[in-house]
Amino acid sequence: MKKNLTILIHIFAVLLFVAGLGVLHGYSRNETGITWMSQTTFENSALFSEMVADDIANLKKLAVLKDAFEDEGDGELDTSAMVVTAQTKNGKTFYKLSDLITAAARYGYTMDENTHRITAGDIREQEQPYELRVTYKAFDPYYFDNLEPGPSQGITNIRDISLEALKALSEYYRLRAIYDPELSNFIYNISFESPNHYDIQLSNSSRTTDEIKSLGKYLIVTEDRTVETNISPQPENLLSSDNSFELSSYEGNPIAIGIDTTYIFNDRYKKAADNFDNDIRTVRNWLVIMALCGVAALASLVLCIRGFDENDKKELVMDKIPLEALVFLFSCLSLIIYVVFKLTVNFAFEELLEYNEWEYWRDMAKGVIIWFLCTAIAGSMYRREINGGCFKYSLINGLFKALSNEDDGRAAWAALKGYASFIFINIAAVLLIMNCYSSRIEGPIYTIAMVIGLVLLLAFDIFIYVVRCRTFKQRDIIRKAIKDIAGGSIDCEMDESQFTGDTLEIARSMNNISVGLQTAINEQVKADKLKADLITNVSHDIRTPLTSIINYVDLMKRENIQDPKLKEYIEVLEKKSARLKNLTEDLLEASKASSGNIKMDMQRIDMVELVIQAGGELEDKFLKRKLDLELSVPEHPVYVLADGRHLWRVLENLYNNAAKYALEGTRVYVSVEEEDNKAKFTIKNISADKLNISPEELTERFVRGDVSRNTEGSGLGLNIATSLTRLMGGELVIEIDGDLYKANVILDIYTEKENTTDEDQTHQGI
Amino acid sequence: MQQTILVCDDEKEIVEAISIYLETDGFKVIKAYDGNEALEVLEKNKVDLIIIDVMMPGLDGIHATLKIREKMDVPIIILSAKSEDTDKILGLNIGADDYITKPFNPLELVARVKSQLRRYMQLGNIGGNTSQAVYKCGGLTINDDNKEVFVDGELIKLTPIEYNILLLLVKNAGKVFSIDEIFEQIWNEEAIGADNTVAVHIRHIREKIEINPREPRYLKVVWGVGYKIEKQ
Repeated sequence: MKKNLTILIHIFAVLLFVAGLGVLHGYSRNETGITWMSQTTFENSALFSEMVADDIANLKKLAVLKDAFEDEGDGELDTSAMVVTAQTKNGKTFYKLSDLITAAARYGYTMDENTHRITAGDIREQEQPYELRVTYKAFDPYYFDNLEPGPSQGITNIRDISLEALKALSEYYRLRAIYDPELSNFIYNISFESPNHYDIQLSNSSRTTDEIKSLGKYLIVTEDRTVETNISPQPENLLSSDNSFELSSYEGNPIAIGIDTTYIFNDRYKKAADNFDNDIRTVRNWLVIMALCGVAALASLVLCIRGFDENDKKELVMDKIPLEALVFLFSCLSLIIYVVFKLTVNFAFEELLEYNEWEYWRDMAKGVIIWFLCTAIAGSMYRREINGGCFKYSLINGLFKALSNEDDGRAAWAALKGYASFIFINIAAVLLIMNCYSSRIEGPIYTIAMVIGLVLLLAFDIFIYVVRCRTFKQRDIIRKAIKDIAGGSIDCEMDESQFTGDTLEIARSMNNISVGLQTAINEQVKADKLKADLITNVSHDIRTPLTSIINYVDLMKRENIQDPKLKEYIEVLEKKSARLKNLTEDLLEASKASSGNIKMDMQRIDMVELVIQAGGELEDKFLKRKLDLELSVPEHPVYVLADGRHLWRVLENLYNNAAKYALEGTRVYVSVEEEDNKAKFTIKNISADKLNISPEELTERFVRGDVSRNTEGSGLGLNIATSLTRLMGGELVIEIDGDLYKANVILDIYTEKENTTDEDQTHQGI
Repeated sequence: MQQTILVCDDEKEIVEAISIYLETDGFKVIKAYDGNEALEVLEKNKVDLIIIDVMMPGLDGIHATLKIREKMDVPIIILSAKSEDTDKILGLNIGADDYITKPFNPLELVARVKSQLRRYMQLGNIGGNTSQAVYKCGGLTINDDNKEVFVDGELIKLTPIEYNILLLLVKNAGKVFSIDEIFEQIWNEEAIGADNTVAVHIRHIREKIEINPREPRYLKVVWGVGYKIEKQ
């Protein structure tokens, strides 16, 4: 929310800043730019100087018109004054002002008495205005001089020339209305010498030169044409003689122009001064706004980019695009925007709006959009920087990484070098061949070179192909070896002579791995065998003294001992020695079974038969503890491939466990099932004691349901059963559910196919 | 006549214990503590049975047995701490008549000694009785006329069903019978369902005719297949 607000502020500030620029641009139109900002007053501005120059020009014009329409510039309109001289078909004709006014009226042009504006009324005269050749115009004395010499020189008609005269008259009135009044801030005493050799004096006050000088701004031209002024820049047009109206002296005084800078009269100077002040204020306001906007834009930009909390620093989708790609993408976007602007905005401004400033605003709009694009990139770069470096996601970094990594990099370098040289050679060869092809007209040598080049290139490419094929073939061999090792084979040494280069190194390493693996496994096997041997030997060594113990305990029992204490002691000895005997036997078996050091005589075994046999063998043990053996087996035989004696041992252990640990007087369920090509033997019973250990722990050595219990078992029964089942390719799964103890022996169902291949197979563990 | 038994073991205590058992049962015992000593004893005395240990200093039990067998066929029982099948097979193959592993049950040892002696002494007697209805298998003899069963010459009492089962198996010594087959042959009924009657009977027979029912000499269990009498 805060972030969105900041972004809004940023956008607003940037737009306002651009608008301010636009406004300043608008003020700079009068060619002084915004430098006039430094000229703090209107009087010192170029605008002021221009106004004075305009006035001077107007006064000059007025002097010409006075000369044309007045009798020696006496200030009175003289309608009988000769204004135009022309050649007509009747010969040389002189037109008086009144004649021309009448003529203009014939063609519908009249001048209003009060406003002195020309209006085009009804045309009374339907006849075509006759042509004439003007030779002199009093209101435009240099007209003829400026004309191009030729047959059409000065050709016009009576309607146009009369209208022209009328317009000049209108101008005469307009200028007099401006400059005649004495109540003006613009005071002047000017005199021009007419071509008719009299002075036309122009003045709107009776002030002396000194008085004019004290007005504030003045321009004095003395008789020797030295200019004295405090107007800057100085209006130059007063002294320039663009016509034959030479500046003369005014009644013996210097020519003087003054502007009352107190602006007591509300005339054009006052208005301009007011406008100027307004403009200055506007511009200053805009400058302040722009400064604020600039600060706001920068501040919000920094905030946008840096974010407010850690969440903002999360990487966005665009932060994961490679930096170069992002910049390229944005460049493309800018280009698209440029094109779109060119196509649409140009059209809109040019065709629809007819607005002459459109170029400026178009550039501004483009700038704004590109600014925001750049802002987005800057934000992305900042986030990249704090999330592990600006160039973390960039093509350069990717390439650099691929090439700099010591182990991976070598292959990347080699691939790059190889591929680059291949491409380079191909391109170079193709270029050469093309060159030869295009020059073949110059001689047969080029044709021969071209053919040789083609053959060489083909040979080179085929050679590369063969080399690549060989490498891939070698790689296939290595792949197979790796697969073999992964699949459990330990002997997969490869013939190193069939490898070259890189693959040779890999193959060598693979061979080393294979050898290492073999050694490790062999050592493991050796260690296991050593352990098994140790246990076997220890068992044998224990047996001999144990035999003596058992025998002498038995002999003691035979002595007719009456002492009940001694009898009790002997009983303990007898029990414990029997236990020790069981333990050594089970330990030996467990060691052999877990190290796989047992010969398996795998044959077709009927699980149903075996279960019934086992039931018969162990029935009395169950009866002794009042356990009911519930048998549930299929009516048909269930054949498995197993070693009968060892499978019996497994079942015997499970049955014994049930007989030992089941709650007295409960039922023990035994079943054989077939499912999914597996035979499953299950024995279930309710444990007399709490089963507070996991099934996994139960199958470990020396663990019994209740550790503190003192029975004759060794605690190795389940461990032996698990190992033996595994050696027969089966699985012993123990499940415990509360007091329900469940043991499953799962073996593959015997099939005929196995029979043919595995009949004599003996499983000798590694 | 008092029979003489040579007991040879490097463990004096074991020799002593065995002597006590055997002397209690009325045998004369000669003691020896290694293979060479045993051979010396044999040269000087008439011995009816030898009990010999395998692992002994000097001449071990296996080599001693080989040397004894060169000269006489007196019954030899090997008494060893080695319990591997391969050890047993080796011992029996080189001429021993029985193989008992340590630690042993003294009663079993005495029983086996007696069994061996009976067979050795009475070998000719029963063999001369050529009746059609007599079936023999090692030390096991069945006289079908009298419905009597002898193990090493000793009469064994069996129930009629046990007798019939044993007879069936002895008649077809070496053949394996499944439970269903035995049931059908003895009861003359089709076997239905899982019933361990036969298995229990077999166990009872074994308990009666075998010295150690867990390591039977005659009535063997072929696990997961059935039962058979080992052909001897």
